[in-house]
Amino acid sequence: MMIELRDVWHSYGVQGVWVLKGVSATFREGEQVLVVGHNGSGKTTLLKIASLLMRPTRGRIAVDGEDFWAIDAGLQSRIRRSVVYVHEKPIMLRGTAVDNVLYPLTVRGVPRDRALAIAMDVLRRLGIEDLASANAKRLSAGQSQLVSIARALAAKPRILFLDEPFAHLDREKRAVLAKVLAEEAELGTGIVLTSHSIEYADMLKIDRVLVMENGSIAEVMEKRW
Amino acid sequence: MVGPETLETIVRSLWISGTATALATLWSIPLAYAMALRERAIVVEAVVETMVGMPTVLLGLLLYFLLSSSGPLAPLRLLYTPTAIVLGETILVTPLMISTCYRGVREAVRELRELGLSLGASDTQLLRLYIGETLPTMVASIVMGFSRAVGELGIALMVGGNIAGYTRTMTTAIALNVSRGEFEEAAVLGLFLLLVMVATSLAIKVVGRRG
Repeated sequence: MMIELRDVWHSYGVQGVWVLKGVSATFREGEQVLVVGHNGSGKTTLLKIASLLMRPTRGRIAVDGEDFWAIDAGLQSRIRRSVVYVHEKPIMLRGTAVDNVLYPLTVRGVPRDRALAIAMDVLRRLGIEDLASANAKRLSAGQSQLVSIARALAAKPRILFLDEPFAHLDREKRAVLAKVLAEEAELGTGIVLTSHSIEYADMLKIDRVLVMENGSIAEVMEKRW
Repeated sequence: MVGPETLETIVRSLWISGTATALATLWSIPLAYAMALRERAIVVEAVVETMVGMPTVLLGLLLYFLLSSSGPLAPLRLLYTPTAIVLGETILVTPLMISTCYRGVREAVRELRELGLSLGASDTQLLRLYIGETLPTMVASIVMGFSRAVGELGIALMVGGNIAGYTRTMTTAIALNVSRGEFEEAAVLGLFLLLVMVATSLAIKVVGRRG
């Protein structure tokens, strides 16, 4: 799977204010990309557009060569099932943590027993299986972050987009998450994550670093990390 | 302490307000969701918000003109019937229920849309997600509607006529008893009305916490 952004511009409706300015980038399955930049540099908008959640104001988004926003809604929905985006501020659904992890499996029609086994396995890998029956709305920021990542991993995406996944985690949990993401990458999942710094580039065997500045990609660094 | 007539008034009040709330729910909740799913509902939103604060006496007066013998709805013969009060209270609580439900759902839908799409939900599954996640908001707005209906006086008095054993409700009975100087029965009804209000308020809090 390959998602290509060609000359993408985006504005949230404020006239003359462009959050993205002519960004072109490619994200592939099996590739790890780190997007760095200061607050307001356009990282989140780039990820939301690349993960097919938001239509850009201008420009083309192609999935395996096909113009995503020109195809019918049914096909768009099927393609979206291969891509998952994890918000920086986790959004928890009502119910328990495991209910949250089960959600993407339920929408994909995975039988309950199998779905539960997958969900528990992901929670275990992230070291939060003890939170399975906790009320998801009452979790701490760090716990919510890990549950939302578990929920994304349960969906088995071909490309996983993570917005500041380490933001609310302590050192120990960061290491666990980095290990799990590295394992996913080994399995061939494409991983694209944003961060304020390039601290994780080495730990995650990042292939490419995109440096965002003021809505544009200022620099691309490849495999030196 | 509670005589049969008082008990009958309490039951009638709850029945009238319950029916009005149930009827208003039929269109208020779907309309609130429809508004929340549209990005631009500013005009409808403004109209609804304005109608929330409409004085019940004014609504009662308008209904009186419509239902009176010289009004356009006179052939329906609804004036001074429990149905007229149900009609009035239904109209009264509709904007309140739309407004409270809409505000809660609108905020949730913005977040849930991205989350649902990102996790692979289809349009139908998205709608189910919205409803499931905003259920506490929906229930709270229904409970608020009931609370408003059971405590209103203007409509019940003007289109119900406060007829003993037929259209008398808790609020009209309290007003009548006070005007007659019969404070004991007024106090009993007032206490029960307060209990209903406290119970609905508690219900909203419980539902909110579960959400």
